This record gives sequence, C-alpha cells and structure tokens, in this order.
Amino acid sequence: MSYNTHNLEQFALPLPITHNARKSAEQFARQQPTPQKAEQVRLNTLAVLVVNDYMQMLGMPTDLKASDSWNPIIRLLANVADLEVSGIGRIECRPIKAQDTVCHIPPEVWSDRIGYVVVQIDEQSSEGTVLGFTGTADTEELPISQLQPVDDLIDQFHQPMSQVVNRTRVNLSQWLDNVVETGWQTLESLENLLNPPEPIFAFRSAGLDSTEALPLEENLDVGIRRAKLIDLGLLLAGSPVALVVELLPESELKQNIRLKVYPTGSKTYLPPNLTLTVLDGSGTVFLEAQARQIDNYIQLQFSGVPEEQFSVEVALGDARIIEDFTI
Amino acid sequence: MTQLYEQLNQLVTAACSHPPGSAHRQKNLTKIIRLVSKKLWQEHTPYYQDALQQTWIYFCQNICEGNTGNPYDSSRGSVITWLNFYLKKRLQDFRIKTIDGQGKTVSSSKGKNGQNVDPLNSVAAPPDVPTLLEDVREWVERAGVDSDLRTTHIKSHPEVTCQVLILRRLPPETSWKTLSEEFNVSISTLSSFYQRQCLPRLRKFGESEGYL
Repeated sequence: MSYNTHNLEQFALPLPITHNARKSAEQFARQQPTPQKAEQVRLNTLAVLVVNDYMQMLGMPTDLKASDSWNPIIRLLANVADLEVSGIGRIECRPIKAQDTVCHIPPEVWSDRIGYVVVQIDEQSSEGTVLGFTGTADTEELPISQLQPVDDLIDQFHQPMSQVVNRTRVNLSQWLDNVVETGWQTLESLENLLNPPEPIFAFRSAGLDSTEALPLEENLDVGIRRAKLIDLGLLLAGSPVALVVELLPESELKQNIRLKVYPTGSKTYLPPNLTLTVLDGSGTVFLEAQARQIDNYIQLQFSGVPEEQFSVEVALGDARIIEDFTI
Repeated sequence: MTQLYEQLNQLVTAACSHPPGSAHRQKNLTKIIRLVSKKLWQEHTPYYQDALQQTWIYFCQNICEGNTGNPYDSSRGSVITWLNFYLKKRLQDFRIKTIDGQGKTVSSSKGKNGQNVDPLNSVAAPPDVPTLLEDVREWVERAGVDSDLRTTHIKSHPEVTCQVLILRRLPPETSWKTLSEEFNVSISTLSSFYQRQCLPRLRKFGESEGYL
C-alpha cells in the first residue's frame, strides 16, 4: 500500500525535536570538516533522534551507540542516519526539508536496513514529521508519494515470521545445461555479499556427511553451483543468508548434492539455531543441520537419482522458506 | 468536535484492548497522536517541544495502565483536556526553571577600561578542529603494500581498493556517480563494496584509536 498526495498529509505524524536532539545535532555537525558535510550530519542526527523519541514513546528499545550514525568515523565517511532497534535491526531515518518532494537515499545505506523512514525537518518550529516508510531502497531518489504510512512499519516490527514463498520447482538437471531459474546466481556475482568471502574457494568438510569435499577445480569440470539469497525477515536484521546448492554428477544415475548456508553482509556467523532441512518427495525430514553459537556456515550432503524430488527448508524461529527441487 | 471526541474514545478503547507493546496498541497510539497533536495547547517557547515530548511519553504510559501516573479516565474529560493539563504543568515547570536559572546567568560586564566584556569570550573553545579526518587520512595513506586496505579490492578491478575508495570518500567526497564513471563500476557495486569491506575496517580503526 502506498499513498497518493492526498493521503500523505493524513498519515503524517508530527513529532517534537527536543532541546537535546538539537544539541547533539549541533555537536556532531561541528566535528565535520566542510559546511556541506556539517549540514548533512546535523539533519541526519535530527531525523535519527526524532525517530528514536518516537520509538521510546512506543516502548521499542533502541541502541544509539550501536548505530553507525553515532559512530564519529562512520558518520564522517558515510551519509548515514541509522537507528538500531534492539533485537529487530537498523532503520534508516532520512531527513528532508519542508518543500522537498523527493528523498535522497545515499547508496551506502542501500543494504543492512529493515526499512527507511522519511522525516521532514522543520527547524523553524522545531518539529520533525514522520511522512512514511519504505522497506527497501535501490535508487538515490525516492519520491515521497511512494511512501507507505508509518503504521506499516509497526506491522513490520511485529510481522509473524512465517512465509512460504517461491514454490516453483527448480530443475537441477537443467542447471547442467545452464538453464537456471531466476534468483539463483553464480557465487561470483554474490561475492561481495558473502561473509566470509573465503569459503567459496576453500571447501571444508563439515556437517552431517563425511564424504570428502571436492576441490573447486574438480567441481567446476563436472558440476554446477548456484546461490540464492534467503531473507527470513526481521530476525536476520536485514542481512539475508545465502543458500548455496551444488550439483556434482557422479554417474548417469547418481547425482551428489551439497547444500550450504552462509551469512551475508557484516555478519560473520549464522544466527544460532538457524536450521537447514532436506525433506524427501513426501515431505518427510531426511537430513537436518542446525547452526550453533559460532558457525560460519552449515552444510548437508546427499545423493539422489534423476527425476527424484526433494525440498530444502531454511528456518529460524517461526520464519521459514522452502525451496522445491527435482534432480 | 463531538465527532473527534467519539473517534478518540474509540481509538483509546481499541488501543487498550491490546497488550502494551503489541502492534495494535502501537498503531492506535500513533493514530491518537496524529489526531491530537494539532489540537493541543501551542506556544512559542524554547522548551515547548521538550514539554510536548514528555507529554507524549506520559500519554503512552498512562492512557491504559497508569504506569507513571493515574490512568486516563474518559469520564473526567477528553484525551485532549487530559493531555493539555499535563502539558501546561510541564511548561510551567520549564518556565520556573528558566526564571530560577536567570539569576545565575553571567551577564556582560564592564572591563578595566570600561569596554563591554562578553563573558563568552573567556570560555575556552571546544576542540572542534576536525582532527578525525586527518587521523583517518593518515592511517589510510600510510597503509603498507600488503595491508588489507590495499589488497582488498572489487573483483576484476584491482585498482579499486579500500584505500582508494576511502580516500576518495573523505569529505569533501567525490560523488558515487563520478566514481562509477571513472572506474567503470556500477554505483551499487561500489557502494556495496564500501559498506561491506571499507566501513567495517573503519569501525575497527575507530575502536582501536579509542574514538568510540
């Protein structure tokens, strides 16, 4: 749901800019080397604090100190206005001025956010008006007519973490002919996202299966490997995990399949208790792996015959995503 | 006005029929704030917004349960009346504090030669000189050949290292568009690399230098 201009005013939420907010904004601005940067930091800080005060009103705990906007170095080197909502993730609080109809969303904040809140700053009356929010950003110019009411942001805080999407069956044999379904990418194209980047090239043998891992070069001759970003919503605080599927044909009748789940973004470890489950054609659990406190990745390995069907489930808490495959 | 009061009463009932912290409670509180905000007592004083913020906190805490005061009682008046009463009390507190404070304020005085002396001139200026920028620049510029600031680069673009990108983004920063054209790398690839590879290293530097 997004609103037209008529609704924009109806959903706008005017909130106070307190004395302390103005003081912090001035203080952070004074640390900047150029007037342009100082103005940017001042407005960013005001927007963050207006939303922070709103979160306080709603009883949502926040952690300013864990936010990049509160880090003097990141603040200097990036146009950031993020606010860490404890246990949920970072919301980006973008300031605009009274007459603006477009909100600038700098590229350096396009990822690792659970949403973008636009705050109109009116310094004359010391008021910040929350105009609305958007869940994702991938362009620098966001027309405010495309914003959703802030009520939808509240829904996102409480979203039941259960979604089953993409039930189209992926045909793995076709992968060998380079026919790959949308959303499944080469690992190279995800390289900047994967964390740590090394595991792509250094396969360690771990998980349930003791089958020895094949080095990359051998893999490439005979098999294929594709990855898909899996977003389990707010539990992952804006950082999706990557599900990697490798197909390694052993013979006409036997295909080896290896599944791995990696963290992405700034996360070094998978969220503890994240599970990777393989279900057979009848939906019965066949293999399962669970991330412990400090797992960089988890993996499962098994083999099947052509035409055999299986499903892969990645789950955390109540949130789960299921992908269906045919070998 | 009666229509507004009815609407407010319905929203209050709706908010309080859901537990504190629930989405329904939060959304209904938000709706009430939206409706009420332009109807509250307004004045142009430097402390008005602080008094208003305290009023909103008081509203959220006491509209249903009475966490920090008596819970709201609709039989005694509308939400607007209830909040205006609290807001005016807070404004009065601020006013008294300001008047009390004035006695302690230093005013300009005559110097030895009879000229006006601004007391602010004798207060030491805070260390606002942006040394941070120079510290970061020095750290990045001095990175050795095998330092990961110089070895970490965008795939297939060995020239776009963390070192290069951080130096170009030091204010006054080069725009992402210019960098994208110069390196022939898309803005999203550049900014994603910056966010995932450069910023974590800057955070670490900040921690090690005791800036946080």
